[in-house]
Amino acid sequence: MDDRYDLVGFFLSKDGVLRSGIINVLEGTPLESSASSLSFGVATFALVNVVFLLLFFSQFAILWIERKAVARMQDRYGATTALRSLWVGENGVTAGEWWNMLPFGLGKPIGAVNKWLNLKFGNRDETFATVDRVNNRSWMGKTIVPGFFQNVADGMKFLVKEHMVPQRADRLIFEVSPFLIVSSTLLILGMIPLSSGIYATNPDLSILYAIAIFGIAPIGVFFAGWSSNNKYTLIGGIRSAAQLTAYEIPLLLTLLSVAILSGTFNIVDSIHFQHSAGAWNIFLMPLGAALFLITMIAEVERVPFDMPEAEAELVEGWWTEYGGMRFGMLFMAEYIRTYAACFLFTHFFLGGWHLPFQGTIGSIPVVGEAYLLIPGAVMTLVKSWLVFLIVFVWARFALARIRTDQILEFGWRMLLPLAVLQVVLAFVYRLFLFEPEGMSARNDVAGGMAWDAFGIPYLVPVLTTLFWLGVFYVYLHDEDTSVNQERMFHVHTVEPAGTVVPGQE
Amino acid sequence: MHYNYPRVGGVKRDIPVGFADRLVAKVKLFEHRIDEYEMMLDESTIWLVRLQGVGYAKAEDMVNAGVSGPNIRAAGVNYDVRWAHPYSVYDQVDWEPAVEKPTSVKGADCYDRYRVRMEEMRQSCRMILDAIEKIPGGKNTNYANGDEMILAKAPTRAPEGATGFSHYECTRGASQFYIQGGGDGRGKNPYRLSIRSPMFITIPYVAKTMIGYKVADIPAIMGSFDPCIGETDR
Repeated sequence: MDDRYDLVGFFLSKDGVLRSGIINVLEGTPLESSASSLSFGVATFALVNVVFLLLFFSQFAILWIERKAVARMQDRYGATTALRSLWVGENGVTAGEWWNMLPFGLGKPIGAVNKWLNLKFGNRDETFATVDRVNNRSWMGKTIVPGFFQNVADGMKFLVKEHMVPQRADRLIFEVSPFLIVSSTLLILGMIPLSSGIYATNPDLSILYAIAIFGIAPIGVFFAGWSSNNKYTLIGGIRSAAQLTAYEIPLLLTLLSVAILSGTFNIVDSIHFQHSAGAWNIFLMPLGAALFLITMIAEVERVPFDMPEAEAELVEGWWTEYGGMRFGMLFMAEYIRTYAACFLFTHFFLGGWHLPFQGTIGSIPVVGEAYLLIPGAVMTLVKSWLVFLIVFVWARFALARIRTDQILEFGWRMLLPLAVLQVVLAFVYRLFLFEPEGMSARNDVAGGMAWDAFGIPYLVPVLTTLFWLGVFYVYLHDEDTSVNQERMFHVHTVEPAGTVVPGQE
Repeated sequence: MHYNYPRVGGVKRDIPVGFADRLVAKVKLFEHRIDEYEMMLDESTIWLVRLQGVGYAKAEDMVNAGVSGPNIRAAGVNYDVRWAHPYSVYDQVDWEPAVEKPTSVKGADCYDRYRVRMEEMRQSCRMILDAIEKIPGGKNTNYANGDEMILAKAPTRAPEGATGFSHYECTRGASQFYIQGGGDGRGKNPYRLSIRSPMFITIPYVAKTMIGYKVADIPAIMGSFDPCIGETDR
């Protein structure tokens, strides 16, 4: 059902404050005839900016979540020094003094503020009175969200770094490729609805559009790797292109099965379908959800599929030669892609902005009214943050990096057949198990039930989920560890080590 | 522990107050964590795919090349200086060397070397927990102000013709020191000082094991031999 907080309606409806205000102002002027379209343009501009800022600044949350979760996972508390790093200096020298050293007294006001902040919030730890700010986290944990603005501090650091181009680089391509990557990444955000009332644009084919835009950045990666004229960046770029062939087709097939099941290529409509049909898609196609997550991790190049920027082998992979704010923007673009992947998973499989058990709880008279007051945008954000935390961060710090030939084999031999199976399953579900008469109207609070079988509601999603959980359980536990078998994973080497003498092959 | 703590003739001074309890707590936590890490890694297919069947090294080749320590114990060679020629208190504490039996005829792969190191960490914990119980005077004797400390410097001049030899098991293999005194004629310098560091011998051998594998396997193979570049330059 529609979220009750309708930002799009507020901006774009003709009776809204913004548009009617503009139309009133233009009344009597020569522009009166085109006042309607002018006000529409201004309102759209404002709407797009508001939605973009919402998405962009909520992105800090996932960086913060990753930092904090990892600190816990690795038994440490993290160097989360936040904006405080700007006013607390090293080794007892306060940063206020440093600001005062700028010429013409330019830093004096900042220095004064810093000094005051340092007195107010500075080093309070008597035990380590002289250690530097990295070790001094005495008040960390006493504030609500310590370290939340660390990324702002990092960004400011990147801004003042020098931009360097390698001498033999292809300068034009080298300069263009970061903008190709960053701009295509930002375009994804335009497609992503926070709720039915908060989105920038909503074209009919938004699923196709989002995936098409997702596919542009790897080209930029390849450009960047090639143009840097560095062997590490070149290997990184080629690995990125090789990886693309492994995950892109299973990803598209998985999205195709989502579109088949929902009967639409529109993200917002596919979310409405999940409410009207009575079950979130993850309960109807757990296999598709798993495939989508795996391929999306490969798409955004995070561990375990981060061969393009394998630190142990390739320094920093394809972005080795980028420095300064270009590095910062590429870094930001990578996280935005991750964030967009979380949003897409939320929308396609977790019911978007719908609250858990919205139909059931929402139908109860008083409690339901209170339950529905929770904004849908908040629900979307919470769901995507949880997806990021539980899947992306956890996978990143629990798994090792896979090899290029292994991801190709994995993609072609396992993901692709499973994705085809999922497409077939989606056809079967839509054609034979789906009952269109059970669909509710879009704004019906209780929602419909299109997935009942033999008169038992929720039978199809429950059986599907149980079946795939059983498959997963068997797959995990069918190994016979008592048998000392030959190593299951085999690499075909030229010769066993030690039998080949270098130079005498 | 600072490198300055072990001295010629012992350690600088006795352990501080509360050290034994904290040590035992930490080691027990570490033992618990090893189990956790091991479960996490051994259940991970990616970890197995990356390590198994990669970087084979035969036992006889390694022995011929002079590789020692955990790397040959991973290939089934049961040789540990602490066990074969005990020095210090290694014959009094409770432990046994970690040896892995490789399943393949090609020798030990990266996975075997990983296994042997996990086992070594367990043995180290066992050794520490046993040693802190058997420490002379009990584990609750601590350093107090005014206690005797070892402040003596090593003698800087050895008499001519006097030689000294020592071999011990360090973290990456057998390490040997040989010194021959030069007498007054050479000032402070000995006549000869020879150090056999295990990594200086291992790293050239690692290059041979990489032949035939992929670029992405280099960190796995190199890391499984546990290289320490600083140690090679002695």
